[in-house]
Amino acid sequence: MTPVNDQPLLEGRDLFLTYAGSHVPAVNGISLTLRPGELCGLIGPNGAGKTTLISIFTTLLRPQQGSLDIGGIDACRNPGAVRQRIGLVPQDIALYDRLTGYENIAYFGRMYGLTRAELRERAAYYLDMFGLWDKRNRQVAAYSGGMKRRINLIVGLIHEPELLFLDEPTVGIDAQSRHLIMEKLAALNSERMAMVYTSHYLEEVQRLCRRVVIIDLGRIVAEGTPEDLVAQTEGCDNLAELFLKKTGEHLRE
Amino acid sequence: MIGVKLSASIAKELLLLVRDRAGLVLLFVMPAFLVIVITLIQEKVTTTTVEVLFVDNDKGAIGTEIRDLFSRIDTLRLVTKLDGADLSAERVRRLVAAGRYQFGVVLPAGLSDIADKAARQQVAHHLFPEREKEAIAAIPEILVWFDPTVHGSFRAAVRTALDRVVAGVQTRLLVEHSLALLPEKIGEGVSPQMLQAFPLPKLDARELLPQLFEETAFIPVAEHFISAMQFTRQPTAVQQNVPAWAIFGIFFIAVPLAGSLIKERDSGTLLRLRVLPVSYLTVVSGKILAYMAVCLVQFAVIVGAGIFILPLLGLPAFDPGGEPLLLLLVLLGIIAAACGYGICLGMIGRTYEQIAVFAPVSIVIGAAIGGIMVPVYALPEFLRPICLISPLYWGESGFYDLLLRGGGLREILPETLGLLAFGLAATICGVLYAAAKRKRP
Repeated sequence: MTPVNDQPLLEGRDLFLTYAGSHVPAVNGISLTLRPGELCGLIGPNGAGKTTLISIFTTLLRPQQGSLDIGGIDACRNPGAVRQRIGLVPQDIALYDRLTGYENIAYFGRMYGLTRAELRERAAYYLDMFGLWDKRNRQVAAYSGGMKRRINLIVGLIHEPELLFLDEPTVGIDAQSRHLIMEKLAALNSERMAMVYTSHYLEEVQRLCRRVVIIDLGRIVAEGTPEDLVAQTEGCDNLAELFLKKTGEHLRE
Repeated sequence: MIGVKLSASIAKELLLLVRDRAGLVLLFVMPAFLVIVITLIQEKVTTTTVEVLFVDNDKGAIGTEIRDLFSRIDTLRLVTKLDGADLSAERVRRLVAAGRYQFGVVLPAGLSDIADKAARQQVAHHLFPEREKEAIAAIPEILVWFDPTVHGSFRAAVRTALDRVVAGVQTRLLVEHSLALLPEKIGEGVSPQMLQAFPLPKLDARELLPQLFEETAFIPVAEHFISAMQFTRQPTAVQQNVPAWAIFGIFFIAVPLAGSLIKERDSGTLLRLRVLPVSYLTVVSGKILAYMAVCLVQFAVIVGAGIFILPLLGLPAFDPGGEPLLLLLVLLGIIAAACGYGICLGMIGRTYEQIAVFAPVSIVIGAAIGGIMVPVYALPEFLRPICLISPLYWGESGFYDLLLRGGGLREILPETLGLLAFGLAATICGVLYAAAKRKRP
């Protein structure tokens, strides 16, 4: 990881994006800044614009308006340079079933330009950290859901990005796997890896993140520490109640 | 209870099928289209008319007779003029050598006169061996030119037809001259008065001179394979089938290639690939190169089987020719086209089920109209221009130019460039389509 400084790691200003064929902006003037080592929870109801915002941050989509700097690099103009510094753990198990866990890690590691020695060292470190060292040579197809989730996470981490985007990384796994993942993410964050964490498990977000951003209808509707946000909002005892208060109780889909 | 559960399962599966409308349409349309195309080809192939270029340098009775007899054969159509001009032997040779026509027949000048004289001599030698000592006139050959890509059955059909026609002419000549000379033979030692008093009955030459008719085939027919280059290799079914079916096999790489792209997209791996600090082009290129390597191995296996296994089964060995680099060039063109097709299908296809139906059926149709299953010249006339749109036909032509017609770089370049262009265009279409689709929610 690069040396720590107080310059913003991610700085998005007035980001705006409307999909082709739609009249409603998916991201409507969002500005967000993230500093190195920060762990930000990004929550919102389905269709609020979370995935679109993450896609903009990870350079998959280019905003129609606004600017985005990551690590001091203009992400819109130079997405290739930004991609080396960020990592993505998608919601889907984005792995090759017929490759082993180690082969999946090795493939993506090589694509990030890791040398063989770096790859061996890091793969061993993360496989051990997530309890998969002994199962590294099994095909992913033979893994349990929890094991797949952990390999999915390691693949996003293997190049040790400065900023890691986690899109619901604990969906569909048992309490033990979830606990392990949360614990290890907190440990990695304590080593100054910045993270943007999206999840519908609000208790997870409250436990893990020191800062929460709630978005709805493509806009930020609340932002702050979970404690401050809950304290500032009348009649709310926790993040889940605050969430419903800010985004409404009506169904979105 | 089981019935309820079973019917619920059936209803669910039907709903799933109906919801994938494109997949459903393909499921019905593609096999139906396949049945129509294949049936059409196989039905018409036996009745289709094969064009034979015909040059009559004889301009005599035999030429006219051969033309008349030929024109009575339904499956052959004699072409004596092109673009309003009479054909010359040289032009026919060039057209057949270029593969534009598959058959050419050239009657030599003076055939009628010399054949007539030779027939008379044949009969005279037979009837009056002591008296007739003059050597039988040498009849110039009737030339039959074949494109080396012509399959054996069609070659045999045309040759048989010609032999029948020539045999008819020979018989007529022999009968005429026999009837002219037989009275003299029968009248030997008989006084003219006797002959006048007892005229000869109507004679049947075949009955009286069976040996003459059985043994004598005096109009020579020479069969030659014509190619652009000096080329002496005898075309065999092996030499024609191995490259043709290898192309068919190579194109099937499109199925797993497209499937792999769809699986990457569906599993979310594509998303991960797109945030890598390398261009997606690099990722796709890696995929294409891997599949190309598989195709090269596949081709090597097929050629190896042609060279080493077919002879063990009593068939001639496949000859890969003496131009390995040119062979590789055509092969790379075919592989590029097949991979480009796979990339295009993988980018455009919405579900694996769609591709699983569309890709193989479209390849079979491409092979059917592209001359892999049935030679293009044997296709129904209205289908022949369509074969030009099949990259499998370009690949087959490229291989045939090289392996059967003895062509070189100049001959294979158009097909090879066409294949490469197709592969590139298909890839670009697929990539552009996918890029446009990503801009939608």
